[in-house]
Amino acid sequence: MDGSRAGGGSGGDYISSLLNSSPMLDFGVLGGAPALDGAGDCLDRFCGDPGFAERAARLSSFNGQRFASGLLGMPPPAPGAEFGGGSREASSVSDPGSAMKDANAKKRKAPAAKGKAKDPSVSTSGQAGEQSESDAKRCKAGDAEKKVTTAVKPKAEQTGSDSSVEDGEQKKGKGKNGKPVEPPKDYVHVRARRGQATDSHSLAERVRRERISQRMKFLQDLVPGCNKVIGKALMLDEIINYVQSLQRQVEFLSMKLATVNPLDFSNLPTLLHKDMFQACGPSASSVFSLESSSSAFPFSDQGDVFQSFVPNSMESQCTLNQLDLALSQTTNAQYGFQDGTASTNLQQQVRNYWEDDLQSVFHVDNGQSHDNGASAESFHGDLQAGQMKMEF
Amino acid sequence: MRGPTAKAFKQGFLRSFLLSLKSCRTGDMSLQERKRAVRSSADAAMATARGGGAIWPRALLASSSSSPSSSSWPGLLLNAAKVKTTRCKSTARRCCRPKRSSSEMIARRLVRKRTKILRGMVPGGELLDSVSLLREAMDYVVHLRAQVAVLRRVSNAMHHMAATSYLTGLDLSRLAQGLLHRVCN
Repeated sequence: MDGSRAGGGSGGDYISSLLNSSPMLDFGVLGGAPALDGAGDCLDRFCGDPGFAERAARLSSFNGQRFASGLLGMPPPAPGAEFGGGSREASSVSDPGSAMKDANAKKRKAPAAKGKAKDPSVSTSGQAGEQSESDAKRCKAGDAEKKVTTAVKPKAEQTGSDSSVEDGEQKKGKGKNGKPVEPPKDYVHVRARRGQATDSHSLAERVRRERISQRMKFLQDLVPGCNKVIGKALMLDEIINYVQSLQRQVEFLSMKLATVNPLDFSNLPTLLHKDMFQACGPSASSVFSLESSSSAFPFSDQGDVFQSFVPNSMESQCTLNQLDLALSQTTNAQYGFQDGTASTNLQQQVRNYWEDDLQSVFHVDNGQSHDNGASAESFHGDLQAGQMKMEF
Repeated sequence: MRGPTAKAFKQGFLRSFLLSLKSCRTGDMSLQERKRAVRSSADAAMATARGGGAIWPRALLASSSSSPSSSSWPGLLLNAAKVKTTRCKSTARRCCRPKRSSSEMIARRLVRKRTKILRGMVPGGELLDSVSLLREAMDYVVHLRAQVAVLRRVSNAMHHMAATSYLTGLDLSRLAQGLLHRVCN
């Protein structure tokens, strides 16, 4: 089907759009949008690689469908039907990062937010629901570029409304704006400020530094807990820790999957697929209903549920951060699986372990979270009731 | 990465993951081998579902594929990444202003060390300069998160199915169907 392809192509476009702040994208459709030189060129080049195509074809031969063409970056333009109205909701299939981004976008759109100038064109484009994250990023890119007071090739939506310099930094670069608009040009126009070195090396260096700092800002939004940290080295530390914890989680989950015995997926895939395609994103009302039978899923899924239910982004971000920490700790502890039989007491052990950890996490979180609304308490109550129904 | 792209990626990832798991014979493997099979199929599925917008999927596929990867893929990756030639660091140092505090040099050294570590963790990072490395890391983090979420749900579903079928002895398919219907509604 089209989902993966559009996801793949538009995933790349997503990041490119974050960085390049290009105008309106339809996320669902394009894989090789001409406006994005980075993604477009990459895809062009990927099309030309026989090895990759062959490998991809080998992998996709299971499916026998259009993976190969998708991987070559040419999605047919009709995945719109799949992304029903619910999936457009940026907040429904959310994670703390994007929730943070939304909060940031709103904060930035407020006139007094950190003294950053409001960007009217971005706010108007922010009406579209699915653009909210990219708008947050565009706001940020706009803010990052506010250091540019003169621009050779200004993008109207950013520098047109530029009125104030964000901070007193000496850096001034033009790179990010100029490059995506003019793909074939390889150089950037940078104007040196008064009192700055004007040789080409330092100018290029400045552009490079500017780009790095812009990307560090984006990463700051992605990695939970990074916004309190200032400085490249510390942020890189956080990023490294986060990537490590994610990879360890993958290891742990694959180990957990390996303990399921018999590992037969003959019935699961079709049912899961039906479910995945029908589910239109978790809605707050239907997520929680108590079930009288044994607890359906371990409480580690609280993390996913939390992020969709809790309206406050800060809270969910704190929670998920601690949840990640807790999970990474449990990861190390659970490595001692030696027998392969999926005994129920093993699963019960796992569940109990996570339950204890998560209880402590939520206790801590309830104490620390500064915006502790009623939702957190209701969560805690639901936890203690012991039966949750998870929406897939 | 949220909104329409997240769901699409997760669906594609799930599909590839389950298909690859179905295809490998896990019946007669040890636990470690099974785990390795699950992990590698998850990575391959993630890379396949990601598509061609980044460097790390190809590096991931190349490192996990059993057949020896073609020798040209690093060069192709370089081309695809549009890697600017990393500026000669010595030239930069010479051109910069001579006065530089030692604290600045320490900071630089720290950053450089961490960048090296990050390079090792992101697949395909060795070929990228630090600017593109950050972008790749961003992309990789986003998709890793989605992968973790999907894996978690799949493993929970599988465990629940296995547990309840073990206990009650019901037909597995009917059980799974009932479970998922309860979950969706």
